[in-house]
Amino acid sequence: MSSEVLLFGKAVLISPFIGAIIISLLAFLHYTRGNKHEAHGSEKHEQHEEHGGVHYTKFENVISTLGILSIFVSWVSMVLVAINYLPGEEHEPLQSQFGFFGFKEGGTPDIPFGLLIDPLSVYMGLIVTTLALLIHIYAREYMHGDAGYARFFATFNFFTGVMLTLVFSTSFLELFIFWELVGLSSYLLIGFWFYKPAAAHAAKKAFLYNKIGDITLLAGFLMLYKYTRTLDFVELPAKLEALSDQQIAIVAVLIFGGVIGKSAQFPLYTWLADAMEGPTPVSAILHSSTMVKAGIYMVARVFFIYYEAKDGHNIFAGAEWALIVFAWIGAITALLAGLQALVENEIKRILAYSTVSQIGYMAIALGTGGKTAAMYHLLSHATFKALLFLTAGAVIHAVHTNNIWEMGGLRKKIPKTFWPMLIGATALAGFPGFSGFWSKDAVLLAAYESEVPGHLIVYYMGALTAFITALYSTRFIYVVFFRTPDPEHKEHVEKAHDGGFFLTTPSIILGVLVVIESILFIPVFNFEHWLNEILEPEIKPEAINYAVAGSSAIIVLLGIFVGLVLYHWKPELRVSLYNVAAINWFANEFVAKRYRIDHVLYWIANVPVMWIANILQNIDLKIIDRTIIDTWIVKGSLQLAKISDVFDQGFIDGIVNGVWQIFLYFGRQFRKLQTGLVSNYATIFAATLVLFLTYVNFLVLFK
Amino acid sequence: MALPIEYFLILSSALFSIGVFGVITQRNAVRILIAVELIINAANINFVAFASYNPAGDISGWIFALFIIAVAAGEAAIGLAIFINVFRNYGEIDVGHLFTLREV
Repeated sequence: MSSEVLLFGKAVLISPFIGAIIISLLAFLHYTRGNKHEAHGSEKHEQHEEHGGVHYTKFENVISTLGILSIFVSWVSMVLVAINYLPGEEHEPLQSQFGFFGFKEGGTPDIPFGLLIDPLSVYMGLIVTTLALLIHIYAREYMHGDAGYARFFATFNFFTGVMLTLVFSTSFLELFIFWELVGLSSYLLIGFWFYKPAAAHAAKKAFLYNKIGDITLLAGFLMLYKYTRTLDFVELPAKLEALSDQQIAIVAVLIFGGVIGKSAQFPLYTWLADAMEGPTPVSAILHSSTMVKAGIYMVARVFFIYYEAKDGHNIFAGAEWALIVFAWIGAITALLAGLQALVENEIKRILAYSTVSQIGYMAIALGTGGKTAAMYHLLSHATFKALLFLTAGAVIHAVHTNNIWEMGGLRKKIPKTFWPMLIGATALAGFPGFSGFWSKDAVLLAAYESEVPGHLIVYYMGALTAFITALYSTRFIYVVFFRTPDPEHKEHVEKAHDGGFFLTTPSIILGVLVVIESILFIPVFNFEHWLNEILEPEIKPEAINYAVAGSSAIIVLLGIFVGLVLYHWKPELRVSLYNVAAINWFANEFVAKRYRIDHVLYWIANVPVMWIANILQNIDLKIIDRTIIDTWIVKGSLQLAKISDVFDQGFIDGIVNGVWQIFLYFGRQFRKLQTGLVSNYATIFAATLVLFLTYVNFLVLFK
Repeated sequence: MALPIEYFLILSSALFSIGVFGVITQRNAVRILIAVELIINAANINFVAFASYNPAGDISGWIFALFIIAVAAGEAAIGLAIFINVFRNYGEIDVGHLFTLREV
C-alpha cells in the first residue's frame, strides 16, 4: 500500500519533466530539419477565423498533446495517491529517499533528497496537478500561432514538474533547490515574449525581487541546520527544542522573508503585477497554484517553527514578535493590494493585485495560527483565481484589449466566458454561500480568535479588505460585462466572440469546480473539519462563530451594494467623489503609483549602490589608474622591455650573427685553396704523396 | 738476366719524378700532356719489369702494359683534340689562364 503510494508519487513528479524533455527534443528536431521559426512578435491570433474553428498545425498538435498528456499522467497518478493515502484515520508521513546531500566534513551525507507524502503535500499536489492540467488544455488554444509554441509547453511542463517536486520535497534543502527552480521557470515564462522590453523587464524584476527573499530563506534554514543538524521535515519538529525562543523567532522571520519574495507580500509584491506581461496561462498558473502559493505552502510545511500544538490549541513556538511581523505584513499586504486592485484599469492587473491581497489573507491565517484556514483559503482561491485568469484571457482574446474601460456590455457577446467569470468573481468577492466566503471566513475567524498581540486590528484590516474585495470584484464585472460600452470602443465590442473549445472548456470546468467547492464548503458537509483532521489532527477545530460569519457576510453584501451604487445606480456620485481633491490624490498619486514602493525600494537599493559605485569608480580612475598603473606598472614594464630589448639585440642576435660570421670567415679562408689551377692541385697531391710515402718509409725502416 | 730489377725501378722512379715535376711546373697544356705520358710510361716499365722477373712466368704484367699503351694513345688523342678546341676559342693553351668556370 505505502509502496504503491510512493510509486504513484514518483510518477507524479517525473511525468511533467519527461514531457518537457520530449517536447524540447521534438522542437529541436523540428527546427533543425529546416522548419523556420515564425517571426517573433507576429500579431497573435491573427490566423483565427472570425467564427470558425482554430486550425492547429501538425507540430502544434503534437506538442500540445504531449504537454497535456504528461500533465494528465501526473494528475491521474496524483489522484491515485490521494485515493490510496487520504482515506482512513492515521496518516503517517511516507518518505522515499533518492539520495543524500552532505555538509558535514568527513561525515556521511545526511540531508535527504526525495519524496515526502503526507496529507499536506497530497492536498497541495492535487490542487497543483488539477489546475495545471486545466491550464495546459487552455494554453493549447491560447498559445496557438505563437512562434514559441513548443518553448512555451516545454517551460510550462518544467514549471509544473518543479512545483510538484517542491511540494513533495522531503528536506529543506531540496525544497530550496526547487524553490529556486520555480523562480527560474517563472522568469522564463514571465519573459516568454522576451522581445517586448516590458516583458523582459518584468521577468528581471520578478527574479530579483524573489532573490531578496530567497537569500533570507537560505539564511533561515542554514541557521536551523546549524542548531539542529537536520533539515528533514519529519525529523525537524522534535529537534527544535535545541533552540531558544529568540532563535526560533529569528529563523521564523528569516523563513518568512522567503515568503515575502515568492508569495508577493509587502513590500516586495509589485513584481506580481508586472508579471502580467507573460502569457495569460502563465499568470493563471503563477497565481493559482504554483509560485506565489509556494511560499504559503512552505510556511504550512514548517508550521511547527511558528506554532506548536498543545492541548488542542496552537501556541507560539518562539517569541511572539515574529508572529506579529508575520500577521501584520499579511494584513498590510491584503489591504494595500486590495486598494490597488480598486484603482487599476487593466483586467489582468486587477486580478494580480487581487491575488496579492488574497495571499495576504493566507499570510494572516498562518501568522495567527490558522494553518487549516490558510490551506482552506489556498484551495478556494486557487480554483477561482485560475478561473478568473482563464476567463480574463478569453475576454482579452475576444476584445483585443486589456483595459476594462475599453470593454463593456460583453455579457451577451461571450456567454461562455461571462458565466464562469461571474461565478469566479462572486467566489472572490466572498458572496455568502460561495467558496470564497467560507474560506475567507475561516481566515478571519483565525485572526479573531488568535492570541497574537494586536490580532483584533489584523482582523479589522482583514474585514476591511473583504469589503474592498467585494467592491473591486463588482467593479470589474460590472464594467466589463454590464456597462454600456463607450461609443469609440463599440466596434471591437460588437465583434467580440467566444473562443474555441479549448479556450472555454477549462473555464467552464473550473466554474463547475467552484460551484462544487461552494456546496462542499457549507459547514453541514464538514469539509473544514475534515481538512483540520488530516492537516492538524492534534488541533481541535474552531467552532463556527456566527458573529464573525454574519458580520463578514454583511460586509461583503455592503461592498457589492456600494459597488453597484457607484457604478450602476449613481455613477455621478463616483465622479463627484473623484472630484474631491484628497480622494483623487490618494487614488491617482498614491495608490495607483503603488504607494511609491518601487521608488522607495529604488532609493534603498539603487541609490547607495550607485553612490558606492561612484566612489569606487573614482578610486579606480584616480588612484589605481593614475598612480599604480600609470607610474609603476607602465614605467616598470617599459624598463623591463628595454632590458629585454638589449638582451635580445646584443646577446641572442650576437650569437646568431657570430655563428654566420665565423662560417663566412673560414669559408673565405678555405676558398683560397680552390684556385682552379690544375698544377696547384697536382702540387698538393704530389706533396701529400711524398709526405705519405716518407711516412710509410719511416714506419718500415724504424719498425 | 744479368741486370738486377733495381735498375728498372730506379729508371721508372726517375721517369715518374720527371713527369710529376713537369705536371706541376709547366703551364703549357701540351707539355703537361707530355709529362703525363712520362708518368704512364714509368708505370709501364714497372709492370713489364715485374712481369719479366716473375719466377711463375705470369705474363699479365705485359698484357697490362699493352692495354695502358693503347689507353694512353686514346687519352693523348682526346687531350690534343681538347687543346686544339681550347686554342681555337681562347687563342692560347696556358692552363693558368683558363678560369672561365671559376667564381672570380
